Amino acid sequence: MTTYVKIPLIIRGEIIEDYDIEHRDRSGESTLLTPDVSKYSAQLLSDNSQSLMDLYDISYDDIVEFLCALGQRLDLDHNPYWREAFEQSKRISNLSDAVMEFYYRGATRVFNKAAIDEIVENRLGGSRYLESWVSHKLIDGRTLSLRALGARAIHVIAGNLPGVAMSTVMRSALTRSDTIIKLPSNDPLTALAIVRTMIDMAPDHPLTKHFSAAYWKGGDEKVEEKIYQPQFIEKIVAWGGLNSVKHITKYLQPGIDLITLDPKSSTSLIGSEVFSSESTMREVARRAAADMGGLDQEACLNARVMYLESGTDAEGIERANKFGKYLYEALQQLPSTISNGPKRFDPALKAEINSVIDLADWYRVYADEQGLEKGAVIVSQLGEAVDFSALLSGRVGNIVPVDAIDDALDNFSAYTQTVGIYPDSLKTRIRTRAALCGGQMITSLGYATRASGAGPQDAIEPIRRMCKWIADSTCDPLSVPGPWMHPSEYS
Amino acid sequence: MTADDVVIQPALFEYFRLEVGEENNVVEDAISAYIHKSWDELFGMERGEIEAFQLQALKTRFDSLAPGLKRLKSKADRAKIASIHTLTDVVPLLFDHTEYKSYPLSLLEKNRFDLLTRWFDDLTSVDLSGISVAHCGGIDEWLDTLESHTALRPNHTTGTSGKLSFIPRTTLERDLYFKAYTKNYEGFGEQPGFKLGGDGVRVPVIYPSVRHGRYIAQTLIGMLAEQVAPSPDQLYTQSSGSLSADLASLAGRIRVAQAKGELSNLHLSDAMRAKMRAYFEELERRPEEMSAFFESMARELQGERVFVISQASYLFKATLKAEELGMSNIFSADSFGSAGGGGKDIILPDDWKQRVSAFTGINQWASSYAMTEITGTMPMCEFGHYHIQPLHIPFLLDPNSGECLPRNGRRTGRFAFYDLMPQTYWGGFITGDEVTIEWDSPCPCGRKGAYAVGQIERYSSKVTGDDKITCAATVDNTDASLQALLG
Repeated sequence: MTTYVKIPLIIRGEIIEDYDIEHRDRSGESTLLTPDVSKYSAQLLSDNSQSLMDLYDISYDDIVEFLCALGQRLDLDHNPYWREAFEQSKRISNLSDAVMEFYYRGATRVFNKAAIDEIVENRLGGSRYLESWVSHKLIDGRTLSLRALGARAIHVIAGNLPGVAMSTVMRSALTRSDTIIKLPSNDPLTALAIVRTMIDMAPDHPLTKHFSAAYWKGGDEKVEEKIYQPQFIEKIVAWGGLNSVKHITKYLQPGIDLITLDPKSSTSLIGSEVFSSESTMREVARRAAADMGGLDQEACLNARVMYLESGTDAEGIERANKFGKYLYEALQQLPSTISNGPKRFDPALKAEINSVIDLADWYRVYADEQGLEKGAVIVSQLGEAVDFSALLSGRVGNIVPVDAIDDALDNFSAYTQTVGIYPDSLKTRIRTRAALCGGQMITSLGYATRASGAGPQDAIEPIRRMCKWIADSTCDPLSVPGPWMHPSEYS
Repeated sequence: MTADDVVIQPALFEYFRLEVGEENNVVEDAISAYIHKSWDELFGMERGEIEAFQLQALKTRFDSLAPGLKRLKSKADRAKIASIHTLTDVVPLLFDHTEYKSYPLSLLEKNRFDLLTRWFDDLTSVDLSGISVAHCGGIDEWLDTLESHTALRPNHTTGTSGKLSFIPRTTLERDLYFKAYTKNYEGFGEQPGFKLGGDGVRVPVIYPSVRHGRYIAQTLIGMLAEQVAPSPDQLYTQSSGSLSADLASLAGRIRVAQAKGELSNLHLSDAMRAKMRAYFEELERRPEEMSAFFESMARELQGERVFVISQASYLFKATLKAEELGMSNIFSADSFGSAGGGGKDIILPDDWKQRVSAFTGINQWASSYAMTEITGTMPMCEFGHYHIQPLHIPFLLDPNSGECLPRNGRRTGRFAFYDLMPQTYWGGFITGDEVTIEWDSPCPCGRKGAYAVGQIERYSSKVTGDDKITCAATVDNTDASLQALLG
């Protein structure tokens, strides 16, 4: 039975429910009803940059207070929008319900004063650039005042984890941006629920008045050719891969800054120290299981192909197989709030695994006899990743034995994101090279899914880039000679 | 009627008795010989009769192949299946499309054709153990070697992931394939039809593709030249060249490397780079040159009875050109053709068939549903339904769980089949296609048995057609240009 899910269009505090377009959602079970965004594009787009001035009537503390109050209201038991978003995400997403619930009950972890302050402190050097013009004296005598100002931005967000919607709202509010969120088909309601909650909470608040949220089918030229124009939009923050970025790039021109947070795949480097004792092997397997199976392996930061310094001779492969078995066992022991197994195991991956499961000379597969629904660990016997590594999901990891852990770096690329490393001494030794080869976030093994928002993301600084960094030079000809002056006037 | 009552008669048509080299001792058996029956006989079978035949035949296939085909044997052991009792018993043993390309890609990169041969050996009853392939420097050479020592005549595909699947057909299955293909032109009931090829109808054949290679189309071209064209030079292809498996594979490896973000790890020799560039350029040029090819065919074979086999999009483009030039009714009215595939580069208007017919003068176009992995086709009737012949046992699977859907009513699922014709390899196969099958309600055309209705769509295109954004890298969203690599 098809259920209809209404996705209103929200334009700066106004809710538009003029539904006249139907879209199929990811589950195939429900139909999304939306207004025709192209009809409202004039209203959606602001060609008045000065409209952002009202955001400068409020202070950083006001913004943080607003966000914390918002976080309090994103309560699964009392907020119908939040509940609806959760229910819809459960239908569409492949995250297991328990893990999903952990996220939807975690809004106060994101919208939290200490956490926000920490991000601002670490990524922007404190709130002072957001709050005021910060002055420095330069060697030529001038006073350079710097300020991080907001911009008119559109965020084409990812829908695989609800945290993306939450952090988008938080970053946009902190930077005092005018924000349009392009809702993803795989999670059309989470960002919407946050914005609707803002409207209920403080309909006339300047922040509420600078959030819009809309769903249209990505690539719809009727909508996009109107929106992606530099007189309306200064920044585009685009999640997703080539397909989603491709149709944006054709609208790029000077005046539009594109910030891409493209798809990534993560890995682990496990040094030979793992084999120092039986108990170390077990302990490292638990950590590796968390990197691989946490968040049901739905995130970019999950380990998929994992390199193990076991050696590639017969003895080494046997060691790797033993570790693979431990890893599979550890996967089954992960806490249910971080990992439960996917709702739907990808049939394409299942076909691939079923086709290699009997090729024991090349691949050793550790999985439940009943099937793959509980995940699997594939140990490559030939010392190279499976050909279908791009499909690894549903808590399936691929252990690749190597003779020297440094060999693994040959397989790093621009798509490598998080690198979980054991032990920390190996991390210290290898991290610079790992980063130069493509690794973007480096962490102690086991903590890949616990990345802190206070760090950069994918080796870039999205929050800094969401700001317009404006320099104001104050020069007094008495101390800073002007270019119109002749040397005799200042020597 | 039960399966045990069915006695499978040996083929009556000695002319068609197909054999492969004596050393392999594979001759067409009574099951495969069903292909020589008329459509009236095959589509006249009642469901009970069909299923009794199928069950008996399936048991025979399983019992004779399982001991020798290691891959099938391990699957059966894993599923704890020692024998077949009902048709659906075979479902856990159907091969995924990945089975015929489950070898590690690096074997090709490292020229480990010894290991590849061992892998292939587990998929065919032909004995490959004694063949030395150490000297092989590429896939083409490897396949040449296998063919020169055995009756194997493998087909390969490009595969969606870019990895080549190798289907271990022998000369027997190649000939069965061709026999089943020509059957499309035989009539059913009152409909006119004729026997195509051999001592039947022989006409010039127009096939706008490349002459040689081991894709199924190239195998077909070889057979058409021998069996249908009055002489081999009356089989007209657009190019007399050969589609190299090595180049097809390299193109695939480039795509895989792209999907993994490892394009920079691929190193091509200058010679390979040049070959690759030429390959891609030819692929690109082909649709453009198509109109010229049809034009020259129109001049050379004007007024003759011909057989045209082409992608619909090529034909339609040629038609557009012909309309400009005011050309029409080129070939004689008893010519016939086959126009398959939609073609990605052009959207066909509703009246494309009429316009193609007006240009070519051909009114008789056969349509059918098939894929490289199946022997023969599912012919389309005048009501637009694809009819499944008794030699193909159809199944619909749940696209997510892989469970077999009930074989009744009208249902939609992932299409899978057991193809009873092959004797030297396992005929069970799961496609990537979403198909709707009508199991019970008879088709007004009079053919009995199950048939497919409506659109056939690939599951993969359904998935990638959607507007899903995720931060995790997957194959479908990291597709990029080859130009950087090719320089």
